[in-house]
Amino acid sequence: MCNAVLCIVADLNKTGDQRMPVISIQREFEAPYGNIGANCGYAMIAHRHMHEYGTTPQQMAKVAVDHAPMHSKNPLATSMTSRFTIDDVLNSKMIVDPLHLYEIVSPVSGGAAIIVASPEVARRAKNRRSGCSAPASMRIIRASLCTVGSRISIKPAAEAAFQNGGTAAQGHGFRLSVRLLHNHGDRHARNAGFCKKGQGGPFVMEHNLTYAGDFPAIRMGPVVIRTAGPRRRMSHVTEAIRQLMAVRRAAGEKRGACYVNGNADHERASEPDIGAQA
Amino acid sequence: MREFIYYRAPDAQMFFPINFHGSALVDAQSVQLHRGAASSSRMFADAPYVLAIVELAEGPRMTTNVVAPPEQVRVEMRSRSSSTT
Repeated sequence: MCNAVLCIVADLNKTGDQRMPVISIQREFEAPYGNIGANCGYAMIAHRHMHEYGTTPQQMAKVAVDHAPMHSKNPLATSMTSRFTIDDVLNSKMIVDPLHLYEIVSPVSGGAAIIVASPEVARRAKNRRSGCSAPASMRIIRASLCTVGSRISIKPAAEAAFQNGGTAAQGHGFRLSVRLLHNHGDRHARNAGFCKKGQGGPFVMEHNLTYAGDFPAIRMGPVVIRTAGPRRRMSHVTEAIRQLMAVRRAAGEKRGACYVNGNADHERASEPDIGAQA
Repeated sequence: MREFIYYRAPDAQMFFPINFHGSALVDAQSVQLHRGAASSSRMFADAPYVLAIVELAEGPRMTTNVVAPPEQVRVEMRSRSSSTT
């Protein structure tokens, strides 16, 4: 139909603004019960995960701890503090049980744009380009309604993406240089196939998730990365490309994975996507 | 057994055409401890309250509140329904 499409996302998220869409499933079935606060949906998922697999608050806090060093290295981050410990996380203010302040996404606003072009057009571009080789998506209505704990829909999307890309999450020669995980990396790591089901907690404790670690991953929250265009998660795409373009040359790696899992707070729908290659 | 609540909106039947009357199992829950000053909900200005997903005996899962002291609510706790209009 066309060879180049400009995709733009922007929003203005004023402090305290929690307006609901006029017509939505969320407004009808979730807002009346108070599912409008910070990370309510993730909190329920976390509780279910703890119930099913024995995941501990310490294991969940490790994700935030490992991502803390990213703050100080990213000049665009809206950093709360450069580093903190598991105890710091667990001693921070409880926001929505079992998630603490340092595990919560803070509200931000911004804008982002990308150009999606055909290979022919991209080859003529003056700027560096990145390719998406294994896109896949799994649309779900609401994370909190349809995907709790082990039933989160990232897994089929991840499997489809890796199948399209001709490789496997844990296959040899597929060391991802960049992983963008939207919060609670233990859950995403497991659902994406990087570890066995139910082993997300031990997985994050055994691995170093920092940029210098053996499983570098970025928690896509505005604390770590200024989330330009948080709605529809455009920032995951722009950040993945930015990271891959910088990292791959230094590390000699060519692939990264970008997971987009819509937040449960203000989004009209949650829409996990996976698959980015630079 | 604890009570959970269903606020029946006028057009809810369009999306959720089921009349349920029995029990439900708490599928997941969290305790919302802090409320924003600009909360759009008339009912949740005061925290904490228990937000939960329950699985109805009829099958569907739904978001709801569990009426109980937060420290007593557990995953897979059985609850009974209480509809309001």
